[in-house]
Amino acid sequence: MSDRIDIHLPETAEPLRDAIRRLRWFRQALDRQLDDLRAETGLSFAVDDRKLAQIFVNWLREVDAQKPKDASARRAYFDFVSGLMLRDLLREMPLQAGPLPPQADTTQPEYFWPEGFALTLFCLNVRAAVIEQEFNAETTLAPEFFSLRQWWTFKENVTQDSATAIGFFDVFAGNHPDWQMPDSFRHRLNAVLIEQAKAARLTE
Amino acid sequence: MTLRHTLPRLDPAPLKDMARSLRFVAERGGKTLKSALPLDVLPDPAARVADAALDAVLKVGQGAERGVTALAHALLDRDEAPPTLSRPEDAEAEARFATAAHDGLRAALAHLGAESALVSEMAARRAWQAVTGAGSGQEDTATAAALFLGLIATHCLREAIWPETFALPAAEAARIATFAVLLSMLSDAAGFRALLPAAVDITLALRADLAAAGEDPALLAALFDEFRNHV
Repeated sequence: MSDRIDIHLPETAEPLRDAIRRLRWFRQALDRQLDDLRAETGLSFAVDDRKLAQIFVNWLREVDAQKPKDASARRAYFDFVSGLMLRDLLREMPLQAGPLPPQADTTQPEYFWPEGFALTLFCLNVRAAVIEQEFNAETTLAPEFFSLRQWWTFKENVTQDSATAIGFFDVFAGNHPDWQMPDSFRHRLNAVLIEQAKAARLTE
Repeated sequence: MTLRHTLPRLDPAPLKDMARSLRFVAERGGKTLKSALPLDVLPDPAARVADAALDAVLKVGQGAERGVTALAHALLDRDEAPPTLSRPEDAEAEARFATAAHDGLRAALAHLGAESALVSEMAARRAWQAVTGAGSGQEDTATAAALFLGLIATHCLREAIWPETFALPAAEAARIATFAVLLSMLSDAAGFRALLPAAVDITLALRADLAAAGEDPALLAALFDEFRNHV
């Protein structure tokens, strides 16, 4: 797997930022992700559609509730809501992986934690596709994404506090994580502003 | 000179309702008999006699079902899209809505797990007449809310057969299916059938909100408005 994100999502005539907020497209996109992963790794998954719909509805409501009025925060908000989606998916876990294929190497993240890996990759892919479409920008995976040690910590932490999934998502996406209040966009924005002010003082 | 008679156009909806009722009764009768007869505890030869009798009854039911199914299909089973809820004055809107409501409700109930369901097209028509007769010009989500209440009030869903393990109360399942059908129509009238499974699952996820909305048209319209673009 390369550090460049390979985007393979269902076609849509709508902007992806709108398509992802339609349950039918969201399901198709996840199914395609799982199909790709199955072809590449031999892993198989069962999806609980009802659970997925509940996660989707809760996520939509939180996306609307935290939506910033300031248009300049859009890019940061796309990053944030992608992590938020991962938090909700991991918390409720709509996937169940089948038995590992015979050649599975459990020192590889995808075999170490198949469900977590599939959902994380899905959220990273959707984020990458939206950012490419909205901002004409390419995204890559951070080296931490390929580290088993990182995945071990990720799984351990998410089991205790699902909100930490947003921080790990940022690490994998190469962003600065907010570990204090990861599921508050306002707190995240404030942290970014403080960092920017510090950097400005250093360059003066 | 040739005489031309203008024949009144046949309205198939009452006949279709009748044919569907017959089919439903045949279906339900067969299932009830099968589950009610204690064949496994009867001693021989009583068991063999009862088994043969049940077989004969089921064959009659299946024959009736085949006949009425053919009749129901022959009576104008069109696959037309429902009218856009913002334009209730469109041509044949009432009939198109009723057919779509019938098909949609059956599909939604099946997605919820119903083994069989009896839905009245005439009741859907009455709901449409009551809502659009009050005048157009309101928001389509308000129309959807009024239709939701109308379809429930007219008992458009006459009866459904649920598996024994089904956990939802029947009345709640009817509200969920009805809401899902109207949500699909609001989302995309032309493609509403393909949207139904997602609409049912969204409505199930909104179970508590739908129960809290009760019979309040404003709350129901707000719920339609919140989710119409998310199916």
